[in-house]
Formats: sequence, structure tokens, C-alpha cells
Amino acid sequence: MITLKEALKLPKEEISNLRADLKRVIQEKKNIGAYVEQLTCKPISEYGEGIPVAIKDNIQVTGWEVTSGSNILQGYIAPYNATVIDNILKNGLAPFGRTNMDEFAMGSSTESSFYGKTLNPHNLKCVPGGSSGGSAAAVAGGMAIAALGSDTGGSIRQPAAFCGCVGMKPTYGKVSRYGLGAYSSSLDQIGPITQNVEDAAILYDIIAGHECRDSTSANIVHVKVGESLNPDRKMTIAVIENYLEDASLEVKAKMIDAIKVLEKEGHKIIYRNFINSKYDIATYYVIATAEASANLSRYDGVRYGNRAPSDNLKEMFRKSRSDGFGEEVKRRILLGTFVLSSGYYDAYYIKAQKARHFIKAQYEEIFKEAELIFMPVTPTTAFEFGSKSDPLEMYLSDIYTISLNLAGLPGISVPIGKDSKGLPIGGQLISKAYAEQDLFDGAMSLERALR
Amino acid sequence: MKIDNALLQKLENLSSLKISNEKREDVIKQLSEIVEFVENLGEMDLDNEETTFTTIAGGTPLREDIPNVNPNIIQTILANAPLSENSFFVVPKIIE
Repeated sequence: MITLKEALKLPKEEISNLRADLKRVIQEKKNIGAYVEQLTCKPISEYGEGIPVAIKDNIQVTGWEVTSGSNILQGYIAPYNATVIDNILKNGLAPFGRTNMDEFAMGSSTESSFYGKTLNPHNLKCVPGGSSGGSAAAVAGGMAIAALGSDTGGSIRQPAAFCGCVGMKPTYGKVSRYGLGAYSSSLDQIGPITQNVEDAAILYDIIAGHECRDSTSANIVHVKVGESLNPDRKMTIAVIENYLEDASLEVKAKMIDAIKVLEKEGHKIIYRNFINSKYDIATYYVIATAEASANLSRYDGVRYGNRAPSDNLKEMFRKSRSDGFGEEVKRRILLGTFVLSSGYYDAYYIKAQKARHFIKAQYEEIFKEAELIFMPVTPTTAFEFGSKSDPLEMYLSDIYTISLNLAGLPGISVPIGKDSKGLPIGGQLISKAYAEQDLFDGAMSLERALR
Repeated sequence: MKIDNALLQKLENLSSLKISNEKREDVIKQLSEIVEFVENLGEMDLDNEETTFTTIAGGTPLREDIPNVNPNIIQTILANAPLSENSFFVVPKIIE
């Protein structure tokens, strides 16, 4: 597949050939189910004529059905473009196809989508990861040049790792959430999933910047990172030692190889420890579900999407929501309602807010000594469909990705090798807030050294 | 703590959801497991941490209150709403 960097140099007529070729490939590889259109047997959604970029089904594109992978949003048509969509259009790119996702971005396998399963292109028995599993599978399967995903607790980095792509979550506030279907507003960020680090930097530069219609968008001038990428910079990189110990043997082995490679590149490696990741998981599931219970209260069958028939308004709310939401979404709404309800608020929600400060401070402490942090993306490689039937077990597969969202920091998942079954393994670099230049420079150094 | 049927009923009411009879036992078990898991936060020493967390340095920005309506958005939403009439959303009768 042509890279995004190369595609940006193509003349107009070649772009239209590229779009036609992609449509043919998407049709041929229908069994992967990376795009919602592959699962619903509809023509690929289009808007504009630029270089095609696959868009997660929770990012608004005018005139498209944008459903967050949910039954409750069937029939909804997006009335405006998300800021990231306007930004890509301004730069010669165009939204092309809706990628499959876990319903409302709540999941780590894309199994909870209303439309059905997305398969991992490296092994069709395995999940692509989630929640941006469709975006990662589209890029990994040669069905997209690049894609946009969203990351609330790892939903860009984890599927990128499972599918062998590069996935990047920007600093909270760097990319506007205007037009992103809200799951957990203080954690959600849109970011790129691409074939290589440089493409990720290019796409990140295109979507980043202040948006006055988004009160959580950082009001600072965006300094482009793609133009000054420097893989020759030498940095201090902190490896989280106890996280290595928690990973599977094969993930650990590839991480150790990658650390050696980074050292050979001239980076200084230091070893530090984090608190047990179970506290990150606990903090995340309190805060994310609390915010989700509030955000998802807007789906009531009145204004958009699916309405269940009833003569009684309250009954209509209840039926529309009970029929429209899938099981995992209902579970998280109930949990979020619980932690915010009177009598439990202090013991759960307030405690989690305090823990969030603690987690952020832990990162700040390490960043006094290092420019970057290096850790695995996932404890294992992609798992098989249906292998994690217990919700808590699924939550525990996110141990390395969640704390970064809680701290608001940027991170990138870079392929560092494959396991004995040929499944990709990802390594994760993290930088200080707004230090995306450090992040991409380090990622490029790692990528180059492993080639 | 254990979530019981009475608490689940309260949560269903608060969130306008109804868990079917055949799913109740499973949901109660899963929620109890998750709640027990998140209680590990009690092991952390958090007495000196702040109780509110903000992602935006300097607080939420203020702007002038200028009316800003895009008629296309209104039109698209109304045209695709479950039920609408004369620029209103229609819902089941509230007052007899």
C-alpha cells in the first residue's frame, strides 16, 4: 500500500484511481469486516474527492450515518463535520469509509459492535483489538492508507499493536473532540492509525490545533512535528520495569530486544517502577463509566436514532434505551450511575479523582529524569474471539494503556516484532504533555533501528 | 460491596434502563465483581490528593454569548428524527 506521505504527492487523476482501487480491495476483502460497509454490504461512504482516509464510526461526517457501532443510533445522519474532518479536507484528504468499532468505544476487541465482528488480518481467528479495531484492521489489511480512531483507555494504541500498525494518542486537548461521539469526555482523544511513524506525524499535524467550539481544546498554536522529525536525537528513556514483568514471555522478550536496540541507537535507558496497574484500571472504570452514564443519557429516542414504540414517555425512554444499547454499554451505564449515586459518590467517584492526581504525579516524577517512557502496549498478543467472556477479564487486558489517558499524556504504539504465531507485538512510547516532537522523534528512532 | 436486586432496581430507574429477568442474575454478579475490584482504591494513600481533577489548565474559557444557528443542522436533525412536526419533536402525550 502507498504511504500517506507518497499519496500527498500524487496528481489528482491518480488519487481518483487510488480511490477506485481501494474500493475494489475493500470489496475483495469483505470477510475482514474492517469497514461497517463491508458488514452491511453497502457501498463505501464517501465525502469529497481527496486522498482517502478511513474514519471511525464515531466521528461526524456530514450526510453520513455515524452510529458509534450502536443499534440506538440507527437512522441518525450526521448534520456537520467534526473539526478533524474539516482539517483533513483542507489538506487534500477526504473521509472514506466508516470503520467498525466496539459500541460507543467501550471494549478492547471490537466484538461489541452492532454490525458484527472485525477479523484480525494477521490471523482471522483473533480479534483486531478495540475499540478502533476496524481502523487498525483496515490499515493492516491493506484496505486503507491511513485511518482516524479515538482513544479513551487505549482504543487507538491497543488495536494498532494487535494489528501491527502505528497508533498515536495525542495530548488531551491537542486534537479537538468537536464532532466526536462522547464516551468519557475527560479521557477521549482522536488520533491517527497509520502504516509508519512518519505518516502518523503527518496526519497528527493535519488534525491538531485549537477549536473555539470545543472548550477542552488547548488554546495554543500548533507547531508542526512532521517537518522537523529527527530520529538522530539522543534521549533518556525510562523503562517501566515492573510492567515488563507482568507481560507474557514473548512480549517481554521483544520488549527487551527493543530496549537493546534503543540503547544501541545512543539513548540512555533508565529503569523505574509504577504502582500496580490494578489501581489504574480501578480509577479508569470509575471515571470513564461515570462520564459515560452522563454522556449517554442523551440517547432517549426523542431526537435521533432508534425509538421504541410506546404510549408512555417514560416507558419510551426505557424501552428505547434497553433495546438500543448492547450489554457492555448497559453494564457501564449502570456502573457509572452507581459510582455517582448518593451514598456512594465519595467512596468511589471522589476517590478515583484523587487517584487520578496520584497517577499523573507518578508520571511527572519520572519525566523529571527522562524525556520518554517505554513500556509494552498490551500484556499479550491478539487473543481469540470469545476467549474473554468475563467483563472484568476484558478490562484487565488494558493494563498498560489506561494510565496515560488518566494523566492526559500523548503516547504511540510502534510495532516491535511478532510472536511465535506470527501475531504483532507493539511497544509504547510516552512523552510529557504537548511534547509530541519528543514522542515522534523517539518513535522514529525505534522504528528505524528495528528495520 | 455486593450489588443486590434492590440496588439494581434503583440504578435501572436512575438510568432509564431495564435489565430483563433472564439477564438479572448475570448482571448482578458482574457488577458486584467489578465494584469489588474497584474497591482496591481503598488501599491507596490518597488523603493529601485534591478531590477535583481538571484536564484544562486555567479553567474553562468564556466566550461572548452570540447567537449562532446553522439552519442545515436543524433541518437534517428534524428530517431524520424518529417523529417530528412543525419544527418540534413529537413524543407520547405527557398530560392527559
